[in-house]
Amino acid sequence: MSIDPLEKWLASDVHDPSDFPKSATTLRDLDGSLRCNICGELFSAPVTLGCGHCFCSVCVREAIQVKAECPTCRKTTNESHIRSNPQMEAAVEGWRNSRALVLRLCLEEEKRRSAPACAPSTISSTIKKRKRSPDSSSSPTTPEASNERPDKRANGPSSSSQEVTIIASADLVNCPICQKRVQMKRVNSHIDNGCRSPSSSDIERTRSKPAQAQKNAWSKILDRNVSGKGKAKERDGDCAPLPKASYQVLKDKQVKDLLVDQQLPTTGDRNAWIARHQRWVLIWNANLDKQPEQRKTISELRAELRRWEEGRSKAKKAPVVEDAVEYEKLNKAQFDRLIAAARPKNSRDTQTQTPADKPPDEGKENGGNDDDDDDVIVLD
Amino acid sequence: MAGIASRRLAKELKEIHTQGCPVGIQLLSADNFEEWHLSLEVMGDSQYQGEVFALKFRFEPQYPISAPAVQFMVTDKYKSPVHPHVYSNGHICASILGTEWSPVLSVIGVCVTLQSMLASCKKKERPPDNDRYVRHAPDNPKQTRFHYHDDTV
Repeated sequence: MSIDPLEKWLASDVHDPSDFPKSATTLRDLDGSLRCNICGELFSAPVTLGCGHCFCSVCVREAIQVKAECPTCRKTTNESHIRSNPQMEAAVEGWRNSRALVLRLCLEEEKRRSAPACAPSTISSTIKKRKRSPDSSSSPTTPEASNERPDKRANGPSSSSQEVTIIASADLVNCPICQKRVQMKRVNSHIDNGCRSPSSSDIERTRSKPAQAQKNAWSKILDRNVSGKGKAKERDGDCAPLPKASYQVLKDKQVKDLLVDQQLPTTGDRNAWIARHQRWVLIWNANLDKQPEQRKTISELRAELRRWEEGRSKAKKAPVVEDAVEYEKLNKAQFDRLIAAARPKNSRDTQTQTPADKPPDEGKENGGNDDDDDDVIVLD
Repeated sequence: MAGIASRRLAKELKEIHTQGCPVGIQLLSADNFEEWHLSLEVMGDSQYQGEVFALKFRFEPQYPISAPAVQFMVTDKYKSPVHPHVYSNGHICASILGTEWSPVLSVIGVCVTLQSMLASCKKKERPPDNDRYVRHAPDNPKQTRFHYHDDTV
């Protein structure tokens, strides 16, 4: 359990500025400056606060919920100060799409410079160095392959399909279950997913005919337009931010109605409803900080909410008492009731049992009772 | 939820591996995304010359929105530093680990802050209420509501 998530994350590609070689400090800086300081990812729906600091909308909304200040400079702030930053969003989108290409060129350049004669020993050392980045876990067979990122953005329609084909055929293997051709490094996740069709990046990689590649490229462009329009229509009616609710003054029925209004599930208790509605308002409003063409659809948001709740319930399974004193205070009534209920039962038990078990010994019975009392004191 | 914490920690770990730690700080273990151990040494002229301490970080799924639980490890090999803000059980009274935590802080950031807290110490002594606190202290220092009174050290 403890190792699993680590391996899972190291197997997936977690990007960060140190993907770029040390010599390319400016690129590291550029990559770092387009990342949210809270989650470390490239900005998603970047927003600025009054102080000018920029974060992902979801991240900063969560942080402000806990403490109403800018996480970077501690200047007091609140949700009404959040402004979306479309220019930053465009810059991040541009970088997101070109990052893999720049990274590849950069690493190629680095390799060329460090090994002018292309001696095999130096190549292997470069590969070894890159092993740190989790996505190069498969053993690359060609020098180009070592630079290939699993990121589909790297092999967009514009990149040379010739090269992609070589790499693709080099590290493709047959899935032992469904016999489909799958990339070596994706075999595990492919099997874990019940041999469902490989991700779009795999499809892109496995294509072999240039004609098909062209077709894919066109359908990609056309699809985007079509889905963009569709999304716009879906969103047209309801793109107003949701207001926050003051749950304390609402009756159970009213809290439930809030969920019903948003067509959200009403399972669980009042606390679950409040948490669900709060999260929904948060991700809904954060989604609106994106440019309309970047926004998620309502069904995507619903899926996100569901995943969030699943994660929470998993974490909740081992109940953690945050504040022992507070917990004791909150549950004092219940503890008292339990103690009161336990006391007479105990004495009755000992009274009814004592005559049968050890009738003559009065002293022992007293001793037993004392022990019980001690237990009760510990509980209290 | 847990995903965000793991991703963020994975990035921090990667940065430690590629860039290395600041002087005096070393990663002892980071086998999962729940508990990490780091060693801490105060460099240069200080009250703690030649002493090496170990820090234990415990992360919740809400990290980095919620602060990690940080304490000095007290084992056969490591001792808790004698410092007016550090209890003998390793618990630390530092506002950045409680009310002043900010999600932009990181594991290395916390280590550097604690390093400078030790470096600026003038007199080695335990907090005045050490015995009373240690007797009743919870296992997790995050459950203690510290009263941050002194911002000189």
